[in-house]
Amino acid sequence: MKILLVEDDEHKMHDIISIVKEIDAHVVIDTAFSVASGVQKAVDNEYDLLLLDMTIPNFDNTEGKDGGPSYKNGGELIIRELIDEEINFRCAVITQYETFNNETIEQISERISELCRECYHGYIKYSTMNENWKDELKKLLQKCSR
Amino acid sequence: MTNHYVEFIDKRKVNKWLRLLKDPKSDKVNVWIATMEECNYLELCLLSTKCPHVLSGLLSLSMIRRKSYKDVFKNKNIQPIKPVDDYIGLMIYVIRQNAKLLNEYISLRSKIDNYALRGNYHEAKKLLTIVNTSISYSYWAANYEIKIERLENGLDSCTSFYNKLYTENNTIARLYYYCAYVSSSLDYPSDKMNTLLWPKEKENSEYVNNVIISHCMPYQAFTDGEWIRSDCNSSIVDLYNNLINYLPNLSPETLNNDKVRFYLSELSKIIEDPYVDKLCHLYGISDKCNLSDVRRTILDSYSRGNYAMVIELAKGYLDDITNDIEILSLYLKSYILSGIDPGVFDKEGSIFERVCYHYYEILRHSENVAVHKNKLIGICKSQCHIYGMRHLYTILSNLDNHSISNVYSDTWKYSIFSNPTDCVVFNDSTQRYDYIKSLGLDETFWNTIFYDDNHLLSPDFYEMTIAQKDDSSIFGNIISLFCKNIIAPYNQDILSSYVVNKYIDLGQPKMAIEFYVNNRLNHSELSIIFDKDKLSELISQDVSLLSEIPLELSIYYYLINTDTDTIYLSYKNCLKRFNLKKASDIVVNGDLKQRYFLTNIVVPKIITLHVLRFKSVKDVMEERIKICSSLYDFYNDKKYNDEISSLCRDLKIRELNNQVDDSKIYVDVNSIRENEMEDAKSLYDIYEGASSNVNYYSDSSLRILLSKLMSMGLSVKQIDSDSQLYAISDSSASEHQEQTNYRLDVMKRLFLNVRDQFLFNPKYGLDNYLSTRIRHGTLVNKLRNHFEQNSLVTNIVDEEYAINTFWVNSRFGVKDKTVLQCVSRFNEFSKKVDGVIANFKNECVQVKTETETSKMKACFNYDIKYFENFINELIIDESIKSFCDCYDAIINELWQHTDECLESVKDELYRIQASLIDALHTLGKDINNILPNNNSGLIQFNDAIGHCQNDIQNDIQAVARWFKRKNYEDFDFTLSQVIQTCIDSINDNNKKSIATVLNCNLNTALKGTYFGTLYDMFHDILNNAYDYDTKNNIGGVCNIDINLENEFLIVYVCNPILPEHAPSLEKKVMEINSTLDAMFKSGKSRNEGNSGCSKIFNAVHNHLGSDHNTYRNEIKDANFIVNIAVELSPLKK
Repeated sequence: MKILLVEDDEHKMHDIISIVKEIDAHVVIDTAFSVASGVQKAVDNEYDLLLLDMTIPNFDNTEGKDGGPSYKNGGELIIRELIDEEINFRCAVITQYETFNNETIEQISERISELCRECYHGYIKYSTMNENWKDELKKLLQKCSR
Repeated sequence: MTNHYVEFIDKRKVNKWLRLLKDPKSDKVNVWIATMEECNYLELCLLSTKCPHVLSGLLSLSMIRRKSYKDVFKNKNIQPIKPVDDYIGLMIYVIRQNAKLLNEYISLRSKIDNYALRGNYHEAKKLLTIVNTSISYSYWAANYEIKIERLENGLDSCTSFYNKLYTENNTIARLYYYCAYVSSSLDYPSDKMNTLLWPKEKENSEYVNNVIISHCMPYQAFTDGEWIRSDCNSSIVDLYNNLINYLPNLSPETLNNDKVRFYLSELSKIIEDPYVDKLCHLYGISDKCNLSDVRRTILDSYSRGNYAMVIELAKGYLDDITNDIEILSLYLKSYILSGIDPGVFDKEGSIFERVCYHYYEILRHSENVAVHKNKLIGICKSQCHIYGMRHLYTILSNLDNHSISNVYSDTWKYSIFSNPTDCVVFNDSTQRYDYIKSLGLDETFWNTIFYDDNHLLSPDFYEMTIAQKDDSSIFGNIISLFCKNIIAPYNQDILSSYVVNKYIDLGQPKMAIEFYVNNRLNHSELSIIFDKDKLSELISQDVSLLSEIPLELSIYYYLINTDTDTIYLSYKNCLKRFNLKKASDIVVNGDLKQRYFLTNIVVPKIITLHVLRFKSVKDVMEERIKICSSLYDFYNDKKYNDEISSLCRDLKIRELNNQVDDSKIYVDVNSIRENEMEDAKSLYDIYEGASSNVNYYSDSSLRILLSKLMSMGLSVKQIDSDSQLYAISDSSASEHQEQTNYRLDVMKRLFLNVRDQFLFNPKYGLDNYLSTRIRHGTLVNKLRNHFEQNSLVTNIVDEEYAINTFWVNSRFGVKDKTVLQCVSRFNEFSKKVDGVIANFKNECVQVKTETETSKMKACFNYDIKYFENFINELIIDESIKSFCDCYDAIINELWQHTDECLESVKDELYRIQASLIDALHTLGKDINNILPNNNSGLIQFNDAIGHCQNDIQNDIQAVARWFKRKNYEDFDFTLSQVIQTCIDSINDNNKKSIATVLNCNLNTALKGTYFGTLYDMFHDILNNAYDYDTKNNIGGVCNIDINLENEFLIVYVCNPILPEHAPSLEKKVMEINSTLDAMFKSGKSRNEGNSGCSKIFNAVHNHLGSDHNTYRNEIKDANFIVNIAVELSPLKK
């Protein structure tokens, strides 16, 4: 299984990768740190699953380069862009925030679900204070690997 | 108009009450009140004819012909209780008994209105006095006087008059006086009156609110009801006004009540009020039409398009009847439709002049229609007591309606005279036509409007609004008029809205969008209201729109302020349809829509989302610059040039920001070579001259001395606590006798010399730049910033961390012991964060050597042991043929070692990152454990933890970039740019922004090599100013002035201080000024006490290419002033 993880928080990224590897060591995980690199990778490669953070910068915050604006719904932007580019994909959102610009994650998730229909597999609430997200991630991976 | 109602007269009842009234023992007033309650209108009329003359005053309610303002609403017991329809009859009876006086009042009132509108307040007040003295005092007159007093003599006089009225009358009149007073200003009539209204759910709110609105805010809607009785004991004038006010708001049930209609017909017979005549005529109660010949001619002339005639006749007419708003409307519209210039209306003149001014601007749809509308509505509200102003208010309100069929929906209520537009009170178009015919207006014209489908549309679209026609030919004609651009400006909004909605109703989204976009582009001030949801639905059902009208669709989305995503996708769609990769590939051709698209839609906010095409912020800005350049080349519009300048400036600042990050690790090796290498050169000469075979005992025999001292009974430890010497004193060490190669030894000393200059030179050395560019002000702010922004840390106040009131009080709202637990936890967290950051700054980002050991954990460790091998290799390196070669080789080695040190700094950074994140998680867990799950602040708190975790990693990454050496690439910059970069840096790293005013018109390009120094200098100056301002909560502005005088850049930075600090700061400044030079010469720059002044001094005197530069601080007029003079020529590119 090949996953693209779009996440700019390195700590969270390492957490997710280590859990994924625990669940299935054979999973190949690609990473991207921004809307731009996430979209580019998703367009250039085929993935079984896109795991998208919501709040991410538009561009990579690489050395000497300004990452540009950080979007509260960056994950959603990626999804819309891929739909517009007619790329087939499956995705889920993995976020640690409850609200984004006066919207809740539930409201955003509902909207994405209407956009993507079957290719959207819901959202996982990442937290450093409990481990529920790990079980949810596990279930998601199991579902996607079938 | 036949009314079949017959009022029955009960003669026995009449005689009964007559007897009681004549009875000398009876309480006449109470008997009369009871009589009024029981008898109907005709019975009362009969009674009054039969009563003795001595009772005529009582029967005509002469007591409500008031003799002073104090008396208004006296005699509270005069409140006969009757159903509303009967009460109307009673009021008309009273009016009948006072008809002569009231007709006088009506005549005077119309003159008073005229005078007031024309600004002739003196005459208006004279007539008001006549009304008061010869007819009756009233709250109507009092209110009028309040308003005139404000207009004529200003607020003080008005307030004085109002206060007098208020204290003299403690009845409900006070409420009316209060409302008149608070709305007396023409410029701002105040909404205080709305606060008087009762909430709907309260009992009797309808009654109360109707009283308040009808008396104080009659321009708002109110309904008929029992409340009409509230004026019974006011005054004869107020009673009349109240009834007249009531008439246009009669419910259909009341109006269709034959009894009421009978009473109104009686009223129209006895009263000579054109407004009553108009209403009765409209209601079909009487045939009296109040149209004068002049008025009729004006109305007909307008219908026929004879605008010159309208203007000529209306001018004179309005001199006499200034408050005929309908004629005023036609008058102003005629100017617009004929193109004749009306001249200038005085917007500060009389009420009438102001009304003309604003109303004309509204009708001609000027750029600031909303402002004029607002102003005019304010005037209407303020002067609603003047007849006609309510009519104007309803006209203005209907303009916002945007529905063509509702333009005149309720204007009939308050127009004084009959107008054809009043006919909308009838639903049926035949009834409407009959009514207009009854006014004696131009039958040919109106017959055409109602019945002829093949004529030109009237300029005011009576066909649609009055004749209720809305067929395809009308629609087609309107479209044709739009195409020819001959819609009257005052109709543009309403007709545009009509057309768009019509297209939507016809299921033609393409036409709707094209029409909307074309008209909005041609008339940017147009307000088009339409059913957006319905149009969205149509758009989603018609995918062909994407290919047929991509540009229009994109502009449409922009104009209706839809979300950025939608606009972005429409922009992409445009590129797809035009087969272009980028918008900058579009060839500008003068098309209005293309221009609009490129100017407003393809902006950085949208381009940024096009991530597959543009990979960085720089790419985005360059794309936008290209677009603006193309637009500027074609249109030569300054705004594009301005935008290009702004974008270039931003790009440059971004570049310079990167320069700042890239140049943090720096040593001025050239200056060291030029200025500090005398000793090293001497050593090199010695080295060169020495033979490689010379060896000597390097042991200084110190241990022999120590042994001797021990034998004398002295403890070595007392001499030197360094265990090394103690070890030497061991007798076994006597076998260690080494020889050192002389040349090697010299080279080692040379190396150490260069190394120490490289590291510790106060002007050019690494530690100086670490201090200036990293440790002083920058590092702590950078790492602490996001903890502060998320309010997770507080500052130390009086040696303790301040309580985190943001979370504990305001967000969590906790009480009792939970408060203490939370406070304690936050304090611990603040301490932990500050400790970690301070440790990094004070211990890690430091330099140490084998002799400079004060910072044991320093990451920049240049202990000689790391260079032993290098030195050994150096002396056998045959490529070293001169001091310069040697120097270069040593510097190269030192830089390589520095690169390794930088890696260990970064490792340390990532360790502290882990430590900070761990502390964050722990804080999060602990607070979640302390508080109950349902605490409303927890969601926001957990989000803040998440944000902070994300942000701190970005900050660490940013700081990590500082610890990387970059090869210098030449560039240039201006002074404004370097100052702006400093300001941006300070703002990025602090919760609050620094307030600055920069005056610098110098655009001289300066050499890139001086960027770092100038940045350091300005950064320290501004950072000091910012810190002081924030710490003392001044909220001041830092002024930065740069001028050129005699080839010197004169820098003047001034920021305010607290006056009480001036003496102590002055003393400190004097000390600094006098000791700076000495400090440098003694190399004590590391102990500058955080002021940064020594760093500024260093920059000015040693790194800006001239010995003639000066730097001084001073305190003057409660300001801290920095004065710097820098010679320009060394800096110039």
